[in-house]
This record gives sequence, C-alpha cells and structure tokens, in this order.
Amino acid sequence: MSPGRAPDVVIGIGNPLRRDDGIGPALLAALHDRLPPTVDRIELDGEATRLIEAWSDRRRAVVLDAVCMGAAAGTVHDLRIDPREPEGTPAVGTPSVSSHHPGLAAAIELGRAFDRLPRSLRVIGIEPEDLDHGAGLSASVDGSCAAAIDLVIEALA
Amino acid sequence: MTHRAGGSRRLSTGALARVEGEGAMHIDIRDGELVDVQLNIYEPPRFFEGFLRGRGLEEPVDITARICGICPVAYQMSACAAIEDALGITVDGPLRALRHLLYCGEWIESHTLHIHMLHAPDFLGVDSVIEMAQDHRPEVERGLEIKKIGNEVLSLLGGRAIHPINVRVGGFYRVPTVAELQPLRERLLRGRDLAEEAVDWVAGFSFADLDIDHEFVAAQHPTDYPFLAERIESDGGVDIAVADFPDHFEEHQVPHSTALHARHLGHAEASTDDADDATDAAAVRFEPGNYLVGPLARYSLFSERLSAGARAAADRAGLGPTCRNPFQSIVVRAVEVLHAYETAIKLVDGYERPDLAAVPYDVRPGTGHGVTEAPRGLLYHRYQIDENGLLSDAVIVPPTSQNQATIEHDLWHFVEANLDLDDESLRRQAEVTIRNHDPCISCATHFLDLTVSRT
Repeated sequence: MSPGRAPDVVIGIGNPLRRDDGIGPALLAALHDRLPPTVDRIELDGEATRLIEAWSDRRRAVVLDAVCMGAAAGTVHDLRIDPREPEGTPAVGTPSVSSHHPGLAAAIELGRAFDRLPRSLRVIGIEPEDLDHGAGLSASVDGSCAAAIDLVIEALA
Repeated sequence: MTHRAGGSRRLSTGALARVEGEGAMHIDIRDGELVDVQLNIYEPPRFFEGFLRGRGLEEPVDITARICGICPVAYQMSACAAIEDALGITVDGPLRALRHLLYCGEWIESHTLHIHMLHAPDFLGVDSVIEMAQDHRPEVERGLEIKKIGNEVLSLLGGRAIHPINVRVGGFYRVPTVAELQPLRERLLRGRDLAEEAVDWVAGFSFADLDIDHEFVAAQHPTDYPFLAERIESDGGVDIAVADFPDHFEEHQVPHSTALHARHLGHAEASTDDADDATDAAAVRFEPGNYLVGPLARYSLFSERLSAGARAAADRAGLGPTCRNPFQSIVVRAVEVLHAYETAIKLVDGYERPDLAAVPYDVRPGTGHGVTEAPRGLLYHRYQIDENGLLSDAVIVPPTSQNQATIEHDLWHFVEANLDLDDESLRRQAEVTIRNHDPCISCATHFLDLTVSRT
C-alpha cells in the first residue's frame, strides 16, 4: 500500500506492569472517546517490526510512550520525526530521539532505512519517574497526562 | 563508550540491545588469565510469582502474558496447562488445535525477528539490520512479511496483535468459525513459501566449527514436534512426567545474578566426581548439571517429527538428525518457522468449530504443573490453588534462566580461547556467542551492558 492510504493512527507503547512504562497504554485509554472515529488506535509493546507494520502506510501517526531524555519526571515531550533526516527533528531541542525502550528508536531507524515511515510521525510522551515492577503511574506522570492528551488531539485535528 | 575504574580497563556497550531486553555481561581478565564470566539477567518472573499470589485462577493467563512482549502465548499456554492440570480437565480436539495454531503464530514471529533482525547481521558482517538495507534489502523485506503473517495468526485467534486477550483456562473466550479461519490459509501458504526461501538463504551462511556437549532437554509429545507437551525428555536419559520437573531440575541462586540458575539434579550428582578431579578453572567456576533448552534441543531430540517440507529443507541445509553447533541455530530456527507454517496449514485445513469455546470446570484445591515449548525452549509453570480458587503459590521457570549457566559456559570457553583479541573484537564476538542462544533477557525493557575488565 502506498504511504498515506490508511487512516491516521495513534499507537500506545509500554508495559502497564512496569509502572510509568505504562504511559503509552494509559494515554491511549484516556483518548478513547476524544479522537475522531476515523483514527485507528493500536496498543503495542514497542517491538520495532510491529511498530513499522502499524505505521508504514499512514499519512499521520502519533506514538505515545515513556520518553527518557534526562528531563524532570513528568516533562511532556513532543518529538517530530522527519522521514528524510537521519537525526530526526525533535521539537524539544535534544540531539536525538531517546526512549527507554530500544524498540522505538530502532523502529524509526529501520523505517527510515526501508522506506517504511509515515509521512508525519510524532512521538508524544512523558519523562517517567519509576520503571520498576508494579501497576499504576507515579504522581508526577499522572499529573502530566492531560497536557499530553491535548497535544495528541491537536496533532490529529 | 569507555570507562576507567581503578587500575582496570573496562569497556561497556549497549550493543547487545540486539538481544531483546535488559541485562549485563562482565568478563574479568587478570594477568592474562580469564578469572570470571558473568551474565546478569534481571528476571521479572520473580516479581510476577509474588504478584500472582492471592489472585484468581483465571488471572495468570492474562498477567503472565505481560512477562514477555515476544512470547506472551508461551506464558499463556504453560499457565493454562498448569491450571488445567490442577483442575483435572483436559483440553483436546479442536480447542487444542486452535492453541497449537496460535502457538505457531508466535513461533513464526519470535524466530523470524531473531533470524532477520538480530542474528543475520552477525553472519553478514554488518552491525545491525539497518545496514542490511543496502545489500540485503529483499531478504529483510521477506523477513518482515514472514513475521507479519505470523502476527496475523496471533491477531485473528488472540483478539489483537499483542498479549492475546482471547485465551482462557479451558480454551478460549470465543472460537472462530471455519469461514473466519479460511482467509488465513492463503496467507499461510504464502508464508510457507517465503519461509522455505529463508531456510535456503541462512543455510548459505558460513558457520564457525563448534560442537557443544551440553545435555539437551525438551518437552515431549507422543506424535508432535514439541509445542504443547505431555512429558519431558533429554538426550541424557530423562523421560519424566511434567509433574516430576521439580524433582529433576532445580533453580538455585548464584551470587552475581538476580536471576536463578537452573541445573539438572541427577546429572549434577553424577558429574560431581568428575568435577573434583578437574583442575581447569572452568570446572571450578561452573557447577555441573547445566543443560540447554530451545531450538537445538528440540531439533536434536525430535527432528524426525518435523513436517515433510521442513525435514526436506533441513536436509538441503545440510543439518543431520541432530545439531550441536550454536552458530547453526539460525538454520534450525528457520527450519522451525517452516515447520510452524506447515503445521498451521494442516491445523486450519482440519479445523471444525467446537460446540463450546472452553471446557467447563469446577474449582477444586490442588497443585498443577504445566510445560510447553516457548520459542526459546521449555517453559515450566506450577500453581497451587486453594479451595476458593485463589492461587496460594506460583512458580515460573523460563527458558532463559535454564540456559543462563550454559551460555556462561560457552562464553567462558570462547573467551579463554581468544584472550589475545583486543577488547573490541572480544566484545563483538562474545556478543555473537550470546546471541546464538537468543536469550530473552528482557521480558521487559532496557539494554544489556557488556564490560571487559583487564587488570
């Protein structure tokens, strides 16, 4: 399928049993009735080839994930990935995209190398505080979810 | 990245992120002699065992699926097998066939990921699959398609692409109609042909000579190549009921790892005298009784039960009835992918929709044991259920913890024979030695940090 034919997609990545690693699925659930019905929603674990399959024929894709960039816990990140630029173009002014999960960075690289990126890819995430075993988000992350959700709605408007 | 710590030189890298997950490896060399090799794996099942206690007997099926993003079906299948054993119910006929089909989808996905994305770069002289875009693009594209069709099996039967939500104790929440399963057939036929090409491709790689003599252990079924199992077998003479696993195989704590190491007790006792006589450092460092589970073990014990096409492809690839070279595990995995496709086609063709989606059961107290073959090898679960249907105990023994001591053993011998390599070469080739065994270090997040220390 040529890029851009399939509906826009929002992809939540993470493991809800690793505390703040569950940011992606938590945001995805919170967005349940706040996105146009035409937008596909997919929960993934972050494995690179599944990510590629999920976004490769889309015009727009938004990935929700815990993003570790050394900022204060709860910081909302909004990274815009340029399909043509090897370094990407993160909106927050850091040199490269960095997620705690190697899958996302690998998926972006792999997608770029094999022409399997959507035309527009944004990674909207929150700096995690706690990635230990257990359920539930930490308070600093939970308090930032509303801002992240607004960004997703704006990105897919 | 280079660190300096005291008088020792340490190199560390996150490159083993190509092994799924988190963990660390440390090689310690003093005065030109190998002193220690340690593979540290942070093993989430320990957390899950505690997390499960006090929960209802239906819950492990969904909760343990979260242990690993790559092999959730394996955790579901072993959990079901153990709980159904405790409840005294048997899942057979079309329900068993559907589970077998779902498991085929997972084997296809997991093995294909390892073959194409993680392992093939080691044989092609490139650092990662990204570098294969230039010279091996069609092969990677083929791998992505083989894997995608496996995921279609998972999505159809499991209810979604990851962590299937349709599996339950006794069977499934909903079973497909014959018509719903039929479209899968064309896709599986396509996948079968691609999988056959992939075997021929990896068979053409060059393999270093290595012949390991570890005991091979695998789940056993009277007629099938190992997936869903009834007994446990080894080439060291083990032929036991699943419930006897704890009497023959033991997990024990080692100082350098939060993960438990497993050993074969009978083998350990039999070998102790030999170890006393041995003078080499490896014999002192390693306790006897380590064994190997996974593709090499399954293949070597049961290769005659492979599907016809897979058997023929294995012959073309030059594999004999057994395979003891870990480098050739990439070929064995490719053969198992082809076997999974051919098995899946047979299961779809023979499918008749059962009247009930799940075998009904009455709650009763008891202990159940379950073993199935995860892509990486034998996965054992044990649950103790009380009179209210709540879990009073849970034990999970994943393949990687069973293989950990064996992987360290292989690493020791590799490093000892290659001490003259510079740190970078040593690190890269040690990674290959680990990757041959496809350890699922993960079951979660993060990187494997590898250090070489020379003093």
